[in-house]
Amino acid sequence: MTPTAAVRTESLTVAYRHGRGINDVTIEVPRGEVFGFLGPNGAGKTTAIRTLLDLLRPTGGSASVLGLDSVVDSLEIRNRCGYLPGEFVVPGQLTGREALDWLASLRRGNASRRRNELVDRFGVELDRPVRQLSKGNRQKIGLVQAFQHDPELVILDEPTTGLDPLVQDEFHRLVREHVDRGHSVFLSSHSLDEVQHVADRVGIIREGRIVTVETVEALRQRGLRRVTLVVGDVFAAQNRLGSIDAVSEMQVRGDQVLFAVRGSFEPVIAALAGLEVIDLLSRAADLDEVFLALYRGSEDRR
Amino acid sequence: MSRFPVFTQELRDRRKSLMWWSVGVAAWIVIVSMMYPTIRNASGISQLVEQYPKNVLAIFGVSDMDFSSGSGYLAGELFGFVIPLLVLMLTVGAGGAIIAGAEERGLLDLVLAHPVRRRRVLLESAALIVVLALAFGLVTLVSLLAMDPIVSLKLSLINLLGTVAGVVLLGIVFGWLALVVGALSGSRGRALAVAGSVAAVAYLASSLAQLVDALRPARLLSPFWYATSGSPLLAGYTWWYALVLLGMALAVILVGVIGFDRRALRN
Repeated sequence: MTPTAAVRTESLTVAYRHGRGINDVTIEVPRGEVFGFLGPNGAGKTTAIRTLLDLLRPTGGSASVLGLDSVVDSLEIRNRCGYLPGEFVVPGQLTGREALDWLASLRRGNASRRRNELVDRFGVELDRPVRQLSKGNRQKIGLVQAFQHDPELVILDEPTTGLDPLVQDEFHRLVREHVDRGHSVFLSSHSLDEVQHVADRVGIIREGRIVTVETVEALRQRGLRRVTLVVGDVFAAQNRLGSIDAVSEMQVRGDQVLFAVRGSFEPVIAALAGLEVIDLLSRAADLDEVFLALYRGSEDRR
Repeated sequence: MSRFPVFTQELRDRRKSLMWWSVGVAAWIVIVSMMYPTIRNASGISQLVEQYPKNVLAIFGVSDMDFSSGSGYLAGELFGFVIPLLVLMLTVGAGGAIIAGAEERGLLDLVLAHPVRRRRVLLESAALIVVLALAFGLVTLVSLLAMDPIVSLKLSLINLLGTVAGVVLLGIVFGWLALVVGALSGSRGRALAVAGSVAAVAYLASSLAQLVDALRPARLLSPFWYATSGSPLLAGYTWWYALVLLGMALAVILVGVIGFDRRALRN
């Protein structure tokens, strides 16, 4: 028997009266992989995730999780998955500890075997009412509850919202370890940078449709970065950069050169050798720009 | 795995508010009972009440106003209107909050992402409403039994039990209605609006049916008719009416079990 995929959808469609539906989504996530579901807010990421957990029902196509049908075998799926919703709330005035106990009590078996370790790692505040915690500290409890029973598949909706960078790093390590032990992680994000950090493969969704599924490496090759260069000799820099294929949209503003780089930085760095570079600032293009680059890419190939 | 996690958690959440409810209801009953000796001895009041148009009295749940006995006084002052209103506030409020309220806060998503059947969430919530209604009934019963010797209400225990049973069942019917409307719509506002307006119409259908012949058949659909009509504190409760109320409540829950399972949860 071939091992079943962690997540597999076939032409999954959810027509949803509050908009944000998904249309004809086909993806396959093998076990042992971190899959990043990337798209702007409202693209349908949450809809897809909630359909995997039977909170929403497909209106077309089908989804299977850990080889089980998302509707028929939902109870079994939910026992073997962990889930962090986009907005993590707990009932009433429960403290972190009470909330984690309560959520574990909704599962079969020893559903909190990894709790202590996770609590230590994230420095979770257990004894105050969750409601009184900051967004970031609440989110940490959300992460602990999603992982505490060591599930085969963890589904996380925008998991790093509100987390400070150190905690984000710890989270990324946790995700890597989880898949290294043969489990799988399915997470959504609207940040390309984050997904690049943690995912093996990325599915990009826009307006309810999958635009592309590719490895992070391939995405990075195509990824667009915006660069601000502060340099002594602006014109020399402009000349040298202008001859590089990967550089586009160049403009000069005072002692700054602004441009976009697609793919590798290698030729840019080589071209700037010997110039008096004062500062070099590079940031990932936002998702919209990535989409534009993707569309441009597909037109180029035609 | 705890046996009734949803029920246990909701009950824990409501312990404090339930306690304050009990204090309030008991206090109201004590005050109304304390006024009884004064009203019994003020001979003018019965005549005054008799001068009211009958339909005005009926709207306040009083068909035969009789202040000469403790039962008659309480039937008018408590069980005609105030006690049914209070029990509905308690159970309908909870019914709207438990599922629809949790859904609106995003909590239902989290619970149902665990291996918990929707049916189970609904039934445990329904059980919680039963507990709230029973607690209300118990407080009412104990308060009146405590006041009885003090102001010599001379209540019949069996009639009092029947009256309270009717109130408890009334609370369950409408609490479950709010619960189910909330579970089907995902909207607490809609749950409260539907249960509240159905209760208002049912109340009028039951009380005015005694006066308006055209409405007489409608009373048979009203839970109030089976719960509070005919001053059960005076005349005794028609016990098989309890079965009718139970049937209504079960029908409502059945609709909920079927409908809740099929629905997409709101985000």
